[in-house]
Amino acid sequence: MTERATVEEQIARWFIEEAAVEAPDRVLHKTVTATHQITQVRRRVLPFDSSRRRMTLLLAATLLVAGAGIGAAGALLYRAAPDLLTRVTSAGVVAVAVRPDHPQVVGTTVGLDGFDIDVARALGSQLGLSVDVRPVPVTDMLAQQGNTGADLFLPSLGTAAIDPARFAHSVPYYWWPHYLLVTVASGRNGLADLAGQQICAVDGDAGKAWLDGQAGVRPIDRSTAVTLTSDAECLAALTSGQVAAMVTAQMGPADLAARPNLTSIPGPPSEPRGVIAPLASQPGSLMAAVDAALGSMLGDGTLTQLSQNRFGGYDLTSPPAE
Amino acid sequence: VQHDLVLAASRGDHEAFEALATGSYGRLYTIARLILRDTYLAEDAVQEALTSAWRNLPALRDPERFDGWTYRLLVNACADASRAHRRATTDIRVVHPATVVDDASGWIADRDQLDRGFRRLRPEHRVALVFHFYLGLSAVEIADVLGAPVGTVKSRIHYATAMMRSALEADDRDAAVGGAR
Repeated sequence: MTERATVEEQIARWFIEEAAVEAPDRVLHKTVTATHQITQVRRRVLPFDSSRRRMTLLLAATLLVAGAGIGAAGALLYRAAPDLLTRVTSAGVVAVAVRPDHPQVVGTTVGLDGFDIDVARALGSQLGLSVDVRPVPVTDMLAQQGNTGADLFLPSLGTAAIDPARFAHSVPYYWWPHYLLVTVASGRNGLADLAGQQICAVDGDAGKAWLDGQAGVRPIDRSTAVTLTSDAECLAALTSGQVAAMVTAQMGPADLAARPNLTSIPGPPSEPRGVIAPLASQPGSLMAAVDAALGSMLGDGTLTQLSQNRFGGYDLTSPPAE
Repeated sequence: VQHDLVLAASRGDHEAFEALATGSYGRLYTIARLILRDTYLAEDAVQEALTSAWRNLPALRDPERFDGWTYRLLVNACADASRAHRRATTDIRVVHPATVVDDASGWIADRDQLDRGFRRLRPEHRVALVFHFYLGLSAVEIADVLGAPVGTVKSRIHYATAMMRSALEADDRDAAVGGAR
């Protein structure tokens, strides 16, 4: 049996094959010829000693900074609103909208406290900004209804569900699993075992979209989707035998581990979830800073620790291994 | 030899620059083509990078860093070309490989998935993958070329690799679904 190459090996092999195309000589000749008409940029060497030169450079730098300040002030008078990074940096605070439900509700007594709030605070710390956390319903985030007053949104939705024409999004900071669950007692262990069966999913969730398939092709042959409003309702339908399986919306790996009577069948993909901001707020520079901050938090283990704290010891900050 | 050519070219020697450009051109073109996935955009990017190299060569303080410096110019040129292309059109030209290798492990299908996954990546993530897996540069070396923090580069490699893995896994799932039907 041929052992399958790792993704790294496949990428390297693909690049090598793709690179096997000869570069056209005409571009080189055209470019070299064009440089004959282009003057090189040369720095002027100052004709005086180094101490005087340092003083002159210092004075020039001072004048440049002052000039830039005046220029910036002038520009502010004539320009439209500055970009989002400039605004939050000036204010020293970034307002972050988090949804007041999953994955923020921790228990019934603790109230609003959870993974995205932890991430928002850690992100603010990385950016050197105070964080103003604002609970905003996810529908309001996406519709931008009312004045949320938030600069960044953590909608806990897959990046595929975010309209790129309206929102910029960061790199993912966690990957939420969707499980296709059956009861252990059913003995089912593959998609083929669910052909022609009724499968429960939560209305509007990515798991329901997976179940519906693409271009009319369902991942489970001849299956029928039963749509309910929550994982709890689907669980009840599954354990009572009304449906053969369910696709989870909000149950995490810890929830699954607590239910030994259920088992999962490989099927629905995990959802990469990131930070978003409306394009209208000119978020490009801030989003680049957010990407760098998330990268740093991923590199130093901060995100992993936050995930393990909130998701029952599970690290959801990387896509699941095959 | 390259050291001397760089010094001569930085003093305005066109022949020296032509020798340098000829030596770098093939690799720069390949990198641009891998990053941009478009032959014509790659040609524009390499032309812009080499023109910029000639214009700014006197500012290069260390001739030994010529290769890394041209990579950086190329990355900037690729970003400009990509932005200009996005503004102008949403059409994507598919670059057909020169060689096609088929085998029992479904390499052709994997290549399609890799291509689709790669096209979904942002330019900075594409650069990280090409520099790491094609040029074989470490994260530290890439950070040095790009002038970016090492952590940022590591994050880009990690994320981009994960996205490519996801693309391949999607293929596997599709195959599994097809097989189950």
